[in-house]
Amino acid sequence: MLYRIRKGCRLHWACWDDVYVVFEELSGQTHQMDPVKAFLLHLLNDGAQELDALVTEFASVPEFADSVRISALLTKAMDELCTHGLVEATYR
Amino acid sequence: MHARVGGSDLPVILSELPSNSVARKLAADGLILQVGPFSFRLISPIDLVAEGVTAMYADYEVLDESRFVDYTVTITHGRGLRRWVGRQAVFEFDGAEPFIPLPVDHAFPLLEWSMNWCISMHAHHYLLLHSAVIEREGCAVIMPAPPGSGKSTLCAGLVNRGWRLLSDELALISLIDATITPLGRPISLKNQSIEIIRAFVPDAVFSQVVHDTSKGSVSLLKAPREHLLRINEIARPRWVIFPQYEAGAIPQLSARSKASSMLELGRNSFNYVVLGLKGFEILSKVIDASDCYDFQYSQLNDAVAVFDELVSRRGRD
Repeated sequence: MLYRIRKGCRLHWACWDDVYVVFEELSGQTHQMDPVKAFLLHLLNDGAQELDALVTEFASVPEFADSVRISALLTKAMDELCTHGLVEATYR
Repeated sequence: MHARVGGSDLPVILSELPSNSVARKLAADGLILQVGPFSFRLISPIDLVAEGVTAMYADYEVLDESRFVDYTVTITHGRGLRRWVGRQAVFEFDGAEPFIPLPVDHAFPLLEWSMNWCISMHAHHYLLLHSAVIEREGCAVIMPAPPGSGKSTLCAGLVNRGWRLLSDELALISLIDATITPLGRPISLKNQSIEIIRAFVPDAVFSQVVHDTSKGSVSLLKAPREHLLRINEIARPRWVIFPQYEAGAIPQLSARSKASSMLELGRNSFNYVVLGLKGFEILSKVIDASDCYDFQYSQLNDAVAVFDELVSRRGRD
């Protein structure tokens, strides 16, 4: 399964002290994001990716070296992003 | 409206109008007042409205008929039986009645709420926050808070201890540079706050207390004249403070995250969603420029000291 930024979404960012605020132009909604979700959106902004590929990307950051923990973390974060309507899951 | 004095035109201030003229104008074609950046034509045959306007708007400029009017607010009697039994006051705007009728003795607070409604529903050339705003040395404190948080009490206390009133209810934020335009309306006080401010500011001018409104007992506090003389001086956002009155609490200013403050300000806005991306960009600028705090207090004198310290600390930073 691939994850991608939901079609039509246009994201605008503000950031203070590692806490991000993102405005989504299509829905007009504003969301607060932790660095994990912000980084996920940043990665997906370059194109759709599978969860495993995202886990690998995160694993290159020393704070996220534990891949089992990352996988659970990203699954939860991705669910939340899907709930907010910012990300959608799709099949190849 | 201008009076010719010594070869130059001076604006006419409401208190300079002949006695009974306010009531007469209100009952006829209306009285046009400049209120902050807006012009209001006020129309009402109700004596309580004339009394309230005469007392609360004494220092406002009266405009003549040639001037453009932003909002025409009519507070009139209820129709039919309601003109005679259980008398009512009705707010009319552009042929509609946006609010349910209220008892006639609520007519003056109804005028104030109606004026707020006109601005909050239509002035989308500003980002509008439901918030008190005060200023000192060009720096503004934005104080958003839900009813019951002590926002208006705190605002009334501070503007009588060295801070300038920009607004008790609506922050008007420029969509160009995020500066704040003063609105300078009377401050709406409720229930115990009325007596607290009477004691804190003994020479303050209040409107008649109206009981049993949807907000409890309500009285308006006249905006200080010297603040209205500076009504065209904009201010820059410097602090966002969420006040909370807590009986017996010692004053406590706690830093809060800018991100959560931004979201909370967005929730307190009348038109953040209407403005879309522009609203987000301007609100981000406000937050960028501001230190954000929660503030718990119980005594006005303590609060004044804390706010004064903010200004001195800014000088040292």
